[in-house]
Amino acid sequence: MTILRVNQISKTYRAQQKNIQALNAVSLSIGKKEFVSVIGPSGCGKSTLLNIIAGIERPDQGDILYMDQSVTGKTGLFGYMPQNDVLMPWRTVLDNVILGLELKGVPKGEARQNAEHYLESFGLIGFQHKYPGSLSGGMRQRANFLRTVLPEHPLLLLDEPFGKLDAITRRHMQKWLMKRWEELQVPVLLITHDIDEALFLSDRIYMMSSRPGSIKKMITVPFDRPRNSEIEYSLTFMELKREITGLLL
Amino acid sequence: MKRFANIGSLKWISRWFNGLLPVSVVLMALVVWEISVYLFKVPAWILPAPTKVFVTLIQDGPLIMYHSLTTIKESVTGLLLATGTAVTLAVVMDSSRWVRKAFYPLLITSQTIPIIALAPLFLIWFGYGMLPKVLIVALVCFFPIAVNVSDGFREVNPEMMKLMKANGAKGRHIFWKVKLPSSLPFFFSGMRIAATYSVMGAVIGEWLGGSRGLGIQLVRAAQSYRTDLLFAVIVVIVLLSLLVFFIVEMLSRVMMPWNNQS
Repeated sequence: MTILRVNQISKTYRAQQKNIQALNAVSLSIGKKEFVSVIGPSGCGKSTLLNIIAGIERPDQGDILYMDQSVTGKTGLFGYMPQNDVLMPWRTVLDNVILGLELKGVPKGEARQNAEHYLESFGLIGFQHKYPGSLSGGMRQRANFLRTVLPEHPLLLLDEPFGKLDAITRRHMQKWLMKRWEELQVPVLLITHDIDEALFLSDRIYMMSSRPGSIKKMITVPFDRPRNSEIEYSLTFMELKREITGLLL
Repeated sequence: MKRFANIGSLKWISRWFNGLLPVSVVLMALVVWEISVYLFKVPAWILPAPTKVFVTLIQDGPLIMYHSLTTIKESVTGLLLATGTAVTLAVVMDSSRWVRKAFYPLLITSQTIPIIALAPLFLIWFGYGMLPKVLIVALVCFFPIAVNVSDGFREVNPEMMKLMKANGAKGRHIFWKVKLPSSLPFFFSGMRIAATYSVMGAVIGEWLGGSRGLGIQLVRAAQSYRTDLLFAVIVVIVLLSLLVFFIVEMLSRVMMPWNNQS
């Protein structure tokens, strides 16, 4: 069952008296309990696509349908995890992660209590009363993810969440994200430029061309869940990786 | 753990040392001054020895205190008035691009008017009481706060704004939860400058006319060739300015605890 449908989205920017087309008739869909990735070269407009789905930007053409209703330009519906964690330095970790709940109108005390249950599985226990300035990159992204998850939105939009982490931390975080996702059972749309990451985590992968971004191909990743890192050494994984690499280069 | 403790105590020592450096420079200058005054037999009405200034500071203490209280009152009231109006104007300028465009150049221009020309005008308009002095302090302190806070509002992390909007935040949420806290460091850098100006502003205001205050005492001391008293008052003005600065610094630590950690 499809919960989100992106329908023929086009977007053109005007910069320095030139029209730059960022997206050209992009369509995709996300099913209930599905983990979907969009992969593409940098500058292909994948972040713009995410911003449009999140309602922060408006498309020139096309619309966003959630449960067959148009939600184009509507904010506050989906969880949005920005690429840079943008934790607020003036809020403690606990107060940072409840931001989404607060904006939904949940009283602070209740929101904090709600968040406390998740601290352990998000590896933030003992740090909840610290300011984010004293956190490591991986921890900051875990807090960023918890902030995205807590309001229990029907869909999570992740914008290259591990792009700025070092390779080893990124690896840990991907495995960790997989675990959390298998528990949460919430549909995810992940933007990434990391082929391994997309293959490891996703049920389906949309490949985007460089500017103007359009969908080149969709690939279904056949691995069963729950997955472990062994799949990365399988023949299927290698073949899919070769196919995606070939298409993107 | 032990290594950390050592680094901690080293830091503590180096902080003391850093504090001691300017103090020792001043002490050395004072010694040279004291010796020169005696060596070259400089008359006290031209340059009194530091010890003489110190004695005057004690002897005329009650009178200096009496005038200081007025100056403190004017400085603090003026600084508070400036803070209120500056923050309000910054908020108003932030509300729309047009308002900002209209006000910002005026703000800069207002600062180019020499305060020494404006002060007598204030005396004519508002008399010889506290009001004109408070206004002069406010005028001097207003600018650094307004400009800093206004810039602070514009320097908000755009990704943070995106996150807020994606979460369905309204304008007032963005203001209270993002703009205000993220402009606090800017506010305090403006306040630090304003704090050092505030006492000086009050003294200039008093200088031009009035019956109480350190500025008046400066005029009287100069007119009666009480150079020792003049110096004593200068010392008090410096100490008061530093005190206001120190209070602002403490406030900034209390209000921005995240800057103290890590």
